[in-house]
Parts: sequence; C-alpha cells; structure tokens
Amino acid sequence: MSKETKGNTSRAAMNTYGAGLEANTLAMLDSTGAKDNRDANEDRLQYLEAVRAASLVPVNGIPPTNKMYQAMFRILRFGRTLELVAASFHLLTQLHQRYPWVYMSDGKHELEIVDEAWSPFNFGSDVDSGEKDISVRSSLFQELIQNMNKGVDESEESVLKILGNMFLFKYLVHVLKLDFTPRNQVFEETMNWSLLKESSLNLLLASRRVNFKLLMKDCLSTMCSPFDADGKSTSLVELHNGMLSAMKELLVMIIELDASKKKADIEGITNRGDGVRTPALEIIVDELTYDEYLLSNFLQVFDDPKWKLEIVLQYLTKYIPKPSVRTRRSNTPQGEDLKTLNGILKTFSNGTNAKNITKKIGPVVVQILIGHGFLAQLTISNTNEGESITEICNSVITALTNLKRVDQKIEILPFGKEVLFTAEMVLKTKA
Amino acid sequence: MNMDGPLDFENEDLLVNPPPSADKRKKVIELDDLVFEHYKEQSKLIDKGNRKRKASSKLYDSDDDDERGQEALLSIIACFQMNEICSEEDTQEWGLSMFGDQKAPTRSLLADIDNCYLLKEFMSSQLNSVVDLNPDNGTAFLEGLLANGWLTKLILTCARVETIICQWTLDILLYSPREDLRSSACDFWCSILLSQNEVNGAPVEIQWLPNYQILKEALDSYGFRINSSQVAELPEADSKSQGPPQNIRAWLKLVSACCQIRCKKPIFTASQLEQLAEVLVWLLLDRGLQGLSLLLQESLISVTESFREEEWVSSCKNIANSLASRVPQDMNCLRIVESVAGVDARSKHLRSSIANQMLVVLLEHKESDENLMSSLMAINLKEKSCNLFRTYMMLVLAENWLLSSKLVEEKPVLKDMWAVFLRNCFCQINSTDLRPFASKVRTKASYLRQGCRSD
Repeated sequence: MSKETKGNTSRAAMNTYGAGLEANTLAMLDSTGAKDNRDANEDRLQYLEAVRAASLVPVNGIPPTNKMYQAMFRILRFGRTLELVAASFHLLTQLHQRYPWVYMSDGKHELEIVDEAWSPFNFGSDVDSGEKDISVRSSLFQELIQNMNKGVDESEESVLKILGNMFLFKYLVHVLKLDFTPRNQVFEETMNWSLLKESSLNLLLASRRVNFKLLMKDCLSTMCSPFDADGKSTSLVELHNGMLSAMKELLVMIIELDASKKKADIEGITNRGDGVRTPALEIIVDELTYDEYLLSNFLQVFDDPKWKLEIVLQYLTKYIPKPSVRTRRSNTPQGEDLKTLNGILKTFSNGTNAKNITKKIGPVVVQILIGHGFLAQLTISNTNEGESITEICNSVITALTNLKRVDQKIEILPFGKEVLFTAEMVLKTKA
Repeated sequence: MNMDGPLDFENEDLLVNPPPSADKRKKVIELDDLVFEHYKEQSKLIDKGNRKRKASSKLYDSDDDDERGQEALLSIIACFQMNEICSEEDTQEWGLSMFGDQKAPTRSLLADIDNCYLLKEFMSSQLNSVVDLNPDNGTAFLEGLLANGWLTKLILTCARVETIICQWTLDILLYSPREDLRSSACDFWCSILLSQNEVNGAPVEIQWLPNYQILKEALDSYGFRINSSQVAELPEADSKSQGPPQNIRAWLKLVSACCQIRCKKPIFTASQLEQLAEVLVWLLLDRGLQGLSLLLQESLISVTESFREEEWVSSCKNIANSLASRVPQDMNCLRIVESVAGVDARSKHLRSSIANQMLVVLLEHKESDENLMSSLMAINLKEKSCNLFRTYMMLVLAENWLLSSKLVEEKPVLKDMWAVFLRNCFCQINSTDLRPFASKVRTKASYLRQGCRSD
C-alpha cells in the first residue's frame, strides 16, 4: 500500500471533505442512541466499513479526522464482540500505514511530523481530564502489561476480554513503533535528540506514573511464563504469539532508545530534564543473573540477535577475570577483546579461567550463555560477514569441550550437545 | 485509574455515549423506535429472568450475550404472538462452520529420518564422543535441534538442505500436535523459502519442495469442508464444533511463504492459486477463526500478489465466479466482499469482482454492467412483496462493485444509474416503513448519496 504523504497541496479541500465525512460517518454511531446491543454493534461495523470505503479503498482517499480515529479506537478498546475488536484493529493499522503521522520525506533524510495528529496515547498531563477521555496514559499501559502476565490462565476472565486486551496491547506497541522507528533512524543520522525526546515511547517511559523496573520485570515474566497451547482455541494461541512478539518489539525499542540516549548523553545534548533511568539492558541482565530458569527461557524467546548477543556479553563480562584493577571502561586491548563473543570465548580456552568462571556461574548457565551467544552470532553472520564463522565455531567447540576437561563430572546439557553439533556441521560445510 | 473499570467489556457506557458530535443529526422518534422500545422493555424482563436462572444453575457462560438476546427475542415471539412483525429480524449474522471432524492424516511424508545425511555425517566425527549420537536417539536429537532453532540457523548457514530433512520438517509442520515443534518447523520452512528472495544472502538450495496436493490433503485432514454441499451454516448454538487443529496457523504461514517466492520458484500453478485464494476467503467466513483474521488477510494478499500480471485478470474473475456461485445468498455474501481488505490494487480488484459476480448471481443476469444497473433501478421498493433484505444486499454489493474499482470513472453512465438507484432506495421507502430492513436500506442509501454528491 502506498503512503499518502503529499497532502499539503489540497489540505483545505481535504478538510472540507473530512468534515463532511466525519459528520456522515459518526452519525451512524449517533443514530443508535442506547439501542439494543446487537443493533449498536451492527452500526459500529457499518461505521468501520464506511471509513474503510472512504479512506482506504479510493485512490484519493480522505484521511479520517481525529474524531473518527477516536471513535475507531473506542471500538477497539471497548468493543464487545471479537468481530468489532478485530475489525477496528485491522482498520486502524491499515490507516496508519496509509496515513503515517511521522515519516521520512522522500529523497531528503528529514523527518516529517504531522501537526496535531491523532494518537491513542495522552501524556499531556497526569491528571484525568474527563471521564470521557479514552486515551491511554502511562499508568494504563503499565497495567495492561501486568494483565498480559496473568491473563491467559485465569479462567474467570472471559476469553473475549483476554483477546481484547491482546489486540489492544498489540495495537499500542504498533503505534509506538511507527512513531519511534523513523525518529530513531533520523536521530542516528542527525543526532537531533529532540526527535526522540518527543517520541511517544520516551514520553511514555518518562512519566512519573510508570515504575520502569516493574514494567521490565512484568515483560520478562510474561515472556518467560509457560504457555500450553493444548486445548486452547487457535485464535487464543495466535493472539498470544502476537502479543509475545509485540512485547519483544517493545523491549527492543526500549533498548534502542536507551542506546540512542547514551549517545546523546555522550554528545552532551541531553539535559537534566531528560531524567535518569536505569538502562533496560542492565535491568534485564540483573534479573537474569538471579534466575537460571528465567535466563534459559528468556534467551529462548528473545530472538533479536544483536541485543541477545549484547545481553550474553554483558552477563559474561561480569565474571571474566580482569587484569589488575582496570575497569571495563578503560580502553585496554583486553577490554576491546571482551566486546566480541570470540574474544570472550577465548578466555575459556585457558583452563584456569574456564574453571573460575564455571565455578562462579555454574556449568549449566555457562552452556546456556555460550549457546545463545553462538546462535545470535550465527544469525548476525548470516547477514553480514563480521568475524569469521569458522573461527567462532572453533572457539565454541573448544570452550564447551574444555568444561569437560575442567571437571569430568560436568554434564553437557542436551542444549550444549546441540551447540556442538551445529558448530561442527558448520565447520564441515565451510571446510 | 483502575483498569478493570474502563477495560471491562460489560461496561458499555463509553461506547454508547460517544463524545457529543458537532452537528448531531436531528433525532426523530419514529414508529419503529416506539415498537422497539416496547420489545426492549420486554426483553429486559426476560433477560432478568434468564440471568437469575443462570445464576442459580451456576452455569455461567461468559459470552452468551447474543444467545441471551436471541432467547429473549424468541420468548417475546412466543409471548405476544406477533409473528408478522418479528419473524424476520433486522439483523442477520454471517458465519459458516468450515470445519467438520478431523481425519487421520494420510502421512504420505513419513520420512526415514534416522537415515539422513546430516546425522550420519556427524556420527563419524570425533566430537560424537561428547555428544553421543546413535541411531536410537537420532530423532529425539533432531527434534531438539529444530525446537531450539539450531536446525534453521544451520541450514541457512550451510545454504543446502536434503530431501529427508525437508519432508520430516514439513510433516511436523502439518501434523505435529506439539506446539514448540510445529512452530519451529514453520519458522524453518518460512526461513528457507524466503531465503530465495534474499538479495545479499545465499538462497538455500532446497532439494524437495511441498506441493499443492500435500497442502490440500493436510487441509482435508483438518476437517475442512471442501465441497459447498458440506458447508454447514452455523447456528449460534452450534459453536461447539471442534474447529481445525492448531496446525492450520502453520499451514497458512507456509502457503504465504510459498506464494511470496513464486517469481523465483513457482510451487503452485495459477489454477491452484485460485483455489487457495478461495479457501482463504471461505476461512474468513468461519467465526471460530476470527482471531486469525490478520493472518488470513495477509495470506490472501500473498496469494493475490503472486499471480503473474498476465494471469491475474482471468484468475480474479475465476475466483469471483466460483465464490459467487457457492456462497449462500445471505449476510455471508456481504461478509466475503467486506473481508477482502481493499488496500492494494489487486485486493480492490478482487473485492469489486466478487461483488459484481454476486450481483450477477442474485439478478440472474449474464449481460452488461449497464443491464445489471438497470435491473437494480427497476426494483420497485414500494411493492409490498419486495424483499428488502435482498435489496439491502444488492445495495452493498453494488457499492463495493462500483466504488472499489475505477468503473464509474470509465463509464460515467454507471454513475448516473447508481445515483438513480440510490434515490429510489431513499425516496421509495418511507421513514415510517416497518418492513424488515426498510430503515437499513434507507439509511445506507442516504449515506451513500452524500458521497455521490461530494465527488
């Protein structure tokens, strides 16, 4: 679907059309009054279909007005049938694709931001402006994530409510992403921090109403809680998977926001008003450090190769003996080595090092970390030739077989065996 | 803010009381409103009774609102004997039950996995002293490799995959009852298929590809009712039917991936693609699969996009023809038109074509567009015997046929005829008309006339 971004030429004309469309379509919702549910739901579906017919289907579609967006979002949030919730979800996401509010201008690497564009979020003030306001505030977003965590197995909650919450969460993350991605892209080229500072994601997390650490913990436990697909409806399983990938996207966005903020900090273009927040990656590594179960499940689910590798590296560097008193930040050659998987794996080739590390974090965790680091590295190497794959495969094999040499009693996990198998077979084909 | 409040689907206040609109339409109390009010009161009373009964029997069904509504309505009919007015409701629901009983899979793919080259080659390596792989634990080991994502990464890195592994993973994708395995197998297939489209990375050399027959057999074993005679209309109460196994999700993703690489590796012929598109539209009619609607729509787009330019026009017509001749002539025929997203050129074309063919079927016409329109114009809506439900369907179909395409731009006469039809719908129906669907036709036509003028 093509984006419609050159709206300036006939904006006045569009406004007139928009106002007419708004009156005509919203009248469909008005005319029901407090009628029977079924009739009202029918009218809502008609409304959604009318917006689709006016804004999406024609080549020169009329963009919906903010009030029309608001009405669609109301249906998504409070719709009482799955049909309504799903239809409003699809329509809204397709409309955002056609009429983006933040986008890269053609040719130039500049960001275009539509003034006063509608958003499902409201970070304007922390005080509720009115009962009728249905915008999502930071606190509600946090509660939604908490609900995701407990949602699935609670039998007393109706399935529709669970499904509705999943649609809502998925939609909100989608909006955050559409807003964040182009801003971050332009930030990386121009170092214009204010673009990111005003992103919905940053505003969401900057709110005093959000307990960031708790939010991260809830994300982690939702992602790691077991989900048994047996006996559940295909809809529920599909939406649960969709919710999980939305949560992964959210985590990756937060981590990328942190990384960009760090860059901006170094450049000295942030100020005290930007606040201080513990980086997400640090919280994640801390949480995983205390919990072997969480570690293994999280790395299993979280599949962004770049940041997964970073998590493994941060975890391992904590336990790798450092020469003398130099801190990690000092730019010694050794410090540089520890920034790559291969560099870290090499420290395992030394028997005493391997023994010390294994003693500290346990043989199981060592295998999980090496394995997932390797898995992430393989994905990255597929796309761009970084470090030579063969070199890494060799280091992985040495590191794991060394564990056995350190202590004969150490069991190689089935997972560890899969790592060895993969490394060996990659070597064979590359040979 | 307490989330239970606003998020509670029982609390409908926010939905029925939208913020005041600037120019709210003037509300006239009509006769059917009064009649409606009367029934609503009655249904409330009965509803209360039902609720009490339900509570005492401790059998609380969470989403039986609609059922309850229907029950109430039925009771009203029984109580007041006003069959003439109530027998035909103003709202009808779409929904078909597309899946019957699951059958045992034919398992044509059962592969002798212990004989695969991958395992054999590793067993000869020195490292096997640590891994301890032998013919007895080979399958279990491969399952671990698959579930943890190693197999996919390994094959993508090596850029080659042997027949046995292909068949084994496809069998898991289509038939395995284990969610971790089938979703990994689905990732595996999607990755190796889509690697064919990679510009930078090396495409995986796939020694064996799935075909239409295998996919169709799988769908058959899921209980899909392929022949229209088997399609059961879904009564509201009969929603307990088994539905398809979870593998349908992987099946859909596989179909999408196969279509997306069609320009590089044609797996399906044009007529097979037509049948797949049709299957997807049928699946969109199953209320049990509503949570999959995004997946279904995406798959449908993958299928329509994969036709070659020279195939598309005739294939689109074939799909529309076949659907129109088989879909029941009720709300379902509107639903299939509306479930085609209409966001890209081809789905607009498909939407328009299906609507057109449905109209042709409804009007028993085989002639020109103009003739179709004049039959619509010739409908006398004042006539008591005029079936307004049919008129309503034709109104919506004509809207989608004309407005999802460039037809009215190419043939201005159609636009004029459309305007006349809309005027008829609006003017020939009195605002106090009590016939079922009378007010629906009138309101819809009134809305569409606005669009007609502003063009």
